Formats: sequence, structure tokens, C-alpha cells
Amino acid sequence: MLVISNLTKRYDEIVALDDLSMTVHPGRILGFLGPNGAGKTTTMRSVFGLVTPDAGEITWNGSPVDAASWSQFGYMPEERGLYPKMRVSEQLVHFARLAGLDKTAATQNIDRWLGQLGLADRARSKLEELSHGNQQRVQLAAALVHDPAVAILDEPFSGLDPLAVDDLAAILAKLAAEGTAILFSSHQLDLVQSVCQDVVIIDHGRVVLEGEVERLRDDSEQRVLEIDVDGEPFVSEFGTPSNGGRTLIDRDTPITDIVTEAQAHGTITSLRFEPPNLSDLFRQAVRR
Amino acid sequence: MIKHILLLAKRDFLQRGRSKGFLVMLGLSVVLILAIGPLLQTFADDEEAIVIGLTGTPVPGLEPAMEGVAAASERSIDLRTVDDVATGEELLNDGELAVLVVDGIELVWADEPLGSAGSIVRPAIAAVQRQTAIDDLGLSANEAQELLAPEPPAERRLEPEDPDQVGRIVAGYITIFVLYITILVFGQFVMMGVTEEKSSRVIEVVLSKVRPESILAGKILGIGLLGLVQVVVIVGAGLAAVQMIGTELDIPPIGVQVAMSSILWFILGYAFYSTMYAGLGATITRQEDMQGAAILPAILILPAYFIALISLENPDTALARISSLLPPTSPIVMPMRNAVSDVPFVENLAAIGIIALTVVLLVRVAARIYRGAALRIGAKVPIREAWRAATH
Repeated sequence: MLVISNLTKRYDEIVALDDLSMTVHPGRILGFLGPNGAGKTTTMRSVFGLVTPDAGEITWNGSPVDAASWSQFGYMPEERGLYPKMRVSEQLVHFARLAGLDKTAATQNIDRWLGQLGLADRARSKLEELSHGNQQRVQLAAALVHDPAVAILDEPFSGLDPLAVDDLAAILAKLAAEGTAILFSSHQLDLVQSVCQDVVIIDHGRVVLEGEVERLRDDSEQRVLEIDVDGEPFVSEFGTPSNGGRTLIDRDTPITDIVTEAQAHGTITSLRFEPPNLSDLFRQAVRR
Repeated sequence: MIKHILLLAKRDFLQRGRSKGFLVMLGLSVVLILAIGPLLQTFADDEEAIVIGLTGTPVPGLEPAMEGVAAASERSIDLRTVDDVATGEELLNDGELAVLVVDGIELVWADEPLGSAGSIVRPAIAAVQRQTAIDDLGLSANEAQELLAPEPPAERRLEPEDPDQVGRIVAGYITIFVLYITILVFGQFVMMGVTEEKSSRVIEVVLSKVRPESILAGKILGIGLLGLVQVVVIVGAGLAAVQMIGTELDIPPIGVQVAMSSILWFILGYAFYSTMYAGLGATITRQEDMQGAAILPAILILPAYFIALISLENPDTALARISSLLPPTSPIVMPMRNAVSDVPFVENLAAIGIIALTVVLLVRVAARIYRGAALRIGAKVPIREAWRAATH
């Protein structure tokens, strides 16, 4: 597993990372969340030595990460970019070979990945001739072409249409099932909730919330209550309106009282009482 | 690490080598070189005969005298007798005649006297007049000979004549020119390559797999090999051009030495300047910032070019010797000196050692600037900031 321990990085007066620690496990998908400027990209760059932290350590399976481990990692930076004038297959071979694959293995992997990404017929096109969405697919292929043990993807879902989002989510799930450790950052919290098993939320370079997504939701001190009543409108003493509006209430709130009150005002047409979703947890964690 | 360098070098070599810009440049230089020889020959063949008009009283001996002078100076003349002065002047005005000789004593020009015609007609007239004077004085042939052609003074030179001297200066000039152009052009290719990887943002993907030092080394190696190809093709085209003119190709042993010294110094000079170009290229992202960033190496190489040029015929002055020892001037001045004179081996060795050490230092500086600036996309990164940002 990939263990990031106590990373600290300062740029003059700005503290980018402040004693940040987290772990990415093989076979699991970790969603890496935080407001803009929280330090997500700096953390991911540190894994590849693109940023040198002032303090802290990053290890892969117990040994400090070095040039040898980088060939087992795949990286999709937030700033997308490949060689515009190179053919798709040519540049994928180039990146696969830089990651240590021989020519035969590289070619086999590229055929498989291009097939999986629906780009088999564009192998000989120059990158700049492809649509934006297809260029993004090639970028993903460049990160994964050598079947890395760790995939670190900076906002892989941004700019994708809903169908492409589904495709990418399926690919990540498949990779994790095959044992890949996956870390990706995103601002699409619904997506993270449905795709990830684990989540780390950071703010100002510090971890403010981390754990398994489902457990964090279950363990929350709050619950979401939605109640829709066909009848005279009212607002419960806990602030829940009767028109289906969503409120966060304390998990120990006696909802039977609210239900009784609602029934007194009319017929309940729908009722939801559930753990808060990731967006709620995120907002609470980074509330300023 | 070596594998990374070779893979990156291969990519740059193939991609840049297949680019239209490179192929057009290579093709043009070959065509130019191949065209120059035959063109020169055409000019030589087309040298027109100088038309000289004669009118008035014919002077005996003048025509053979003019033929003699023309033959001695390897010019051909066409003598045309004209009926009268008026007709001659008309032909002069029409450009049919270069000069009109009246009564063997007066020269009439259209406007400015023409040097080529004058240098044939004037000595011929003088010779005829001398002969007339000799005849009038009644001197014997021997007396006349003694009077007109005194024995020339004996001469000797302290330095033995070098039969290759002219050839060596030409070789020196070509060396200066080819090295100056190739180092500049391919150094700038390195800069473009580094900058393009930033502007296309691919740099971060590459850097996640390869160390900055290897990226720089791969780029410098790949584009440098392309530069060598260009140099070899240019030399080959030059040899082919010489063959086409039909000149007897006679490569003295010194020619091989000059070629080897030029190739060695191309490698050293290119390593020096392209490393500088690579470091500076990392500080910018946009093509339009390139000119500004490229100023430093362009300024450093200029003195090398000019010192080499002015020292072509005096390659052993203090200025030439010192500037051939030290970068940034040594990559052009030393191969020039090797071409035109016999530089002691020790001096070459010292110069190579000094520039090799400088390149090692420069690579470290450039790699540090590269590390500090490569991921800063957008405005030009000041060198000092890049230096500080790279912490190891």
C-alpha cells in the first residue's frame, strides 16, 4: 500500500501541506476531496517527486518511494497534455516504454486499452485530430498503459459527459477489482460517494475527515429527513418543512413525534430518514 | 536512467527529424550547396569577350600587342575596325564597344573608363611606343632587353611557404560558418523542444516517470544527433558539388584532421550552448517568449564568431589563443585555429578539458532551473525564482 506520512510543504508564507497523512490500499478506490487550493495537487505531485516536501515521507509497500516505484505508478495530472503531433499508438508506446515495458508488451497493452476505451480505430490518428473527449481517454490510457499498481488521477472526471463518466467509473471499479490501488481527486461528490470505498477530505493542507464512505455516513451524528405531506403546510419544531424539503437533524431526534405531527396535518406521501451524503459531510468538514 | 535518456532521445530525433521544418531546411541546404558549383562554372563560362574598336591610322604592332596582353591576363578580346570616329562613338553609346582606340593613341570611353578594357589597351599602347623608341634609338635586341627588363631582386622568406595556406583559410572559414549556424540552430531546437513540452502540458506526465536530468540529457542527445546528421549531409553535399564541377578532388591529410576537429568541437560547443538553451527554455511556456529567453546564448556566441573571423589569418595572437581555450568562445575559435594552423595538442586538450568541466557544471545549473520551472505554466519564470524553487 501507498502510505503518505506527515507531509509538510511551505511556499514562503503559504502552508500548502500541514502534517498530512493518508493511506491508499490495493484493491480500493480512495476519493481525495477538498476545496480549491486545499493541497490536493501538491500531495499528488509529492508522490512523484514533482514537489519536494519540507518534511514527511511517502512509502510504497514499506520502502520509500523512488524512481523504481514510479514505474509502477500511473499519473494523470490535472493539467492535461500529451504530444499533439504524435500518433496515438506511437505516444502510448513511448510512455509504456518509459515505464519499463518492452516493445511487445507495450503493443499488447495498448491494443487492449484502446479497445477498452473505444479508440481502436484512432490508433494511427495524431492526438490533435481527436475530439476533446477522446483526447481525455488517451490521457487516461497514457496513465494506465503499463498496468500500474497505483493509479493517481487528478480530477479524472472533469469535463466528461455523463456517458463517459459511467465508462470511467466502470473502468476504475474493474481496476480496483483487479487489485490496483486508486487515488483520485474530484469535486463531483455524488460520484465519489458512488465510486469510492474510502475518502479523505483535506482543507488548508490538513486532513479534516477520512475513512470508509459508508461508515462515515453511518457514524455521522446527523440524519437527513425529508417529509412530504398532502394537506395543510407546516414546519416541524426541528425545522423540517412538509413540502419535501431536506433538513439535517440530530440522529437522536425522535422522528415519531414529527411523523405524528405530520399525520395531524394531512397524509404523508413520502418520507426519508437516512445518513447524510458525502456532500453534507464535506460541507461540515470544511465549514469556515 | 540510460534507458530513459535513449528513449527520450529517440523520440526527439524521430519527431523533429520528420518535421517539415527540419526536412525543408536540410533539403534547401543540399540544393543550395549543389547549385553553387555549377552556378559558378556557368559564370566563368559566360565571361564575354571585351570588344575593342579601332579607327583612324592603323599602328603596326598594336593589335598583336593587345592580343598578347589579353592572353597573359586570361581574357579574350574581340578587335573590331570601325570606319570613322563618329561610327565608333555611336557603337560606344549603344554599348557595342567597351572602348574606341583612335589612331593608336587616343582612348574614347562611353562614360567611366572600364578597368578590364583599360588594363589591356593601355599596356599594349605603351609597349608599342617603347618598341618605336627602341627602333628610333637603334638599340640592339640585347641592349633593349637590359633596358626594359632589369633582373628582378632576389627574395627569400623566413617562414617556408605553406602550399595549403589558401585551402586552410577556406576550410577555416567554412568551419566557423558551419559551426556557428549549426550550434545556434540546433541549440534553439532544444529550447523549442523544452518549451513545447511545457506549453502542451505533457511535461508533467513525462516528469512523473523520468528525472529532470534524464529529460534534459535525452533532448540534448536526440537533437544533437540530428545536428550531426545535418553536418554530415552538408559535408557530403559539398564533396558532391566539388565532384560535379569536375575539380580534381585532393583531400590533404590536414583535411581529415580539420573535419575531425570540427565534429568534436561541434559536439562540445553544442553541448555547452544547448544545455544553456534547455535551462532557459524551461523558464518559458509561450512561443512568443522564446526570443527574449534566447538572447543570452545568442550574445555569448557572437564574440566567438567574430574573434574567429578576424583571427583567420593571425590565429596565434594572444586574443585568439585565450579565446580558443575558454568557453563560450572556444567551440568556434579552437576549430578555426586547428583548420588554419598547427595548434599544439596540449592546447587542444586543455580547451577540451575546460569546456567539458564547464558543461558538467552547466548541466547541473540547467537541471536545477528546469526542476524549479518546468511545472510553472504561463508567464516567464525568473531564473532566480526557478533556482530557489528547486530544493535539491
